[in-house]
Amino acid sequence: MRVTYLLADIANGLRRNASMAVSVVLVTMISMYLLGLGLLAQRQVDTMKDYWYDRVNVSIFLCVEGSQYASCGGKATTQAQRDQIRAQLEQLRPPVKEVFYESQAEAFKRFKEQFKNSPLGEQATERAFADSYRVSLADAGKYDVVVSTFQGAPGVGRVQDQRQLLDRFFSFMNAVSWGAIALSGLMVLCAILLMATTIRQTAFSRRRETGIMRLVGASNATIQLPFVMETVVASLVGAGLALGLLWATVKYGVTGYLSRALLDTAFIGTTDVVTVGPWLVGGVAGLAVLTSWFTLRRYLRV
Amino acid sequence: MILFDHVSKTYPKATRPALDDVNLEVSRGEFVFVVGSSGSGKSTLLRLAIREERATAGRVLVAGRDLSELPDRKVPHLRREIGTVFQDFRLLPNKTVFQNVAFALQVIGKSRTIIRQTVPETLRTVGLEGKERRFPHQLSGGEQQRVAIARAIVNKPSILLADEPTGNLDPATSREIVKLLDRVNRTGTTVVMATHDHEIVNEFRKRVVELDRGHLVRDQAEGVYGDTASAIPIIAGLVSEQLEAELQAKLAVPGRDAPQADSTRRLRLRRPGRRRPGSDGPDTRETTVLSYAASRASGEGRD
Repeated sequence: MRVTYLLADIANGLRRNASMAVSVVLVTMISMYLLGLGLLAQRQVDTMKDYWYDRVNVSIFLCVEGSQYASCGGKATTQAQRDQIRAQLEQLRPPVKEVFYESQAEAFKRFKEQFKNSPLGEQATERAFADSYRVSLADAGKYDVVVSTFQGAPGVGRVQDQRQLLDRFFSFMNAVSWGAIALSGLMVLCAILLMATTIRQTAFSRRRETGIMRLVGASNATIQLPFVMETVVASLVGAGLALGLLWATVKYGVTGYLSRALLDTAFIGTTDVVTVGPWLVGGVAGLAVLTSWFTLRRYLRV
Repeated sequence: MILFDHVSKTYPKATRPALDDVNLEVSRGEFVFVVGSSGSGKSTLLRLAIREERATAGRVLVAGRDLSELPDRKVPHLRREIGTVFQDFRLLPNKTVFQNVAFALQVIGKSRTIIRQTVPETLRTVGLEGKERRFPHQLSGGEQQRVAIARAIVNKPSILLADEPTGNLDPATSREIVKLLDRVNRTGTTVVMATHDHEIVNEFRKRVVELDRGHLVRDQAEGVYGDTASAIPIIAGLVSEQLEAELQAKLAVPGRDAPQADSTRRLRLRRPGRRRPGSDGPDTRETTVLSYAASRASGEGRD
């Protein structure tokens, strides 16, 4: 079949079946948008992990006057104990990479800064904070070494791995992104069913035309190709719109707003949309071809 | 050109076969009327010839191809050599006369140059000059059938199958359509036309093949509708092997009225034991044919 004839046939088919084509475009767009959001959320988690795992520390909180921890005995850590802890940390290089000291006043200041928009920031008092050694590790997995060395040591109130806190946050983010992906899975199913219904309906409405094509000896490909191409074109338009929406969401929502509002966090950018894009488009094209092929085998006699 | 060799066709869930052990040979350039009442198997015969259906038993050979062994992907090539015309015209209502005919060429990948050249020629052949831009609803029934014929012959097929092409037309128009098919036939195209139009069959005096409830009961050169008296014998399933041998021997006796060459070609002898389902004894028509054949072979009843 000649290409010009095929193109004219596809355009004709889409025009004649405009409402169904629009519905395929919209459903594909929504499902791909959701899937794209899910995938981008995954990438956001990865980006944040990279960013934060480089920055998180094991915190060794020291004792303050009246500490409840058994190893503190209700007394603040002495200078000798501090020096001892410092010396032990130096001996642990590696896995210890860097050590810096944060005083109670600094910790309180940082907290006030971070929670300036929250009632927590106003209610907090300096007494609730403690001096601490912030230890960054060359290998985050060696957290156990630090904990076993310092947990219960004299002058140490509590050893906390910030990574555990972050992991809880990341699990939550992961759950949200998987939720979006699962939801998009349902939408993809809707898209598949809609494509199949559209093809079935189109095959029925064009049964005279396809019947004549069969009788005059048109090849199976010639008969089936317009149906497949119409579905592929409608789906690709949907996927294109979804990519546009994703790009706008990241450009104006994430880069334009979130990363300005939350300066100390790394966010995904429009390059991530470009990375995800080909997978979405390729996936949609594959899905449209497969759905058409299966449906036509069943509903279009060739 | 077309050969049906012991062909039977039973549709799923059907109580009796649509075609039952049919033998038929149509040579290149012949014009054949296939007659019979509704349900006699005429359409099934044509559908088997274009591989719309597959035979349950036997072999169908069309244009040198054994259709029982023809892979699905080669069916389109077979159909490019066969034109088909139907009672209901099957035109595309949203296309003009020109576009309807051109459609048949477009979908098999013919170039625009060939289409521009061939379509007007074909429309001239079928007498539709000047009506290229009309839509089907602006044409009479006869004109619509001419468009359908033009579409069927535009790719110059070697065979034209017409399934009751005059079924929706008045007698005068029907005659014109069959004249057109006759003209097509004279250009060398084999034409097989299924019909139950008595007047047409009687007027044109072509070869007539009659089907009755799936059985081929008559094959007559220059025949008429429903006439069995002058039929070339079709000995159908009731001849014992001994009688068959005797008949063949008598047919070969010199000086006897041997059947004409044309007739012997179509003489088919079948093995005993194949009876029409549901019949206890010989069918009246078959008995008539049998006794006619026997009397003709022994020299009795000659003119």
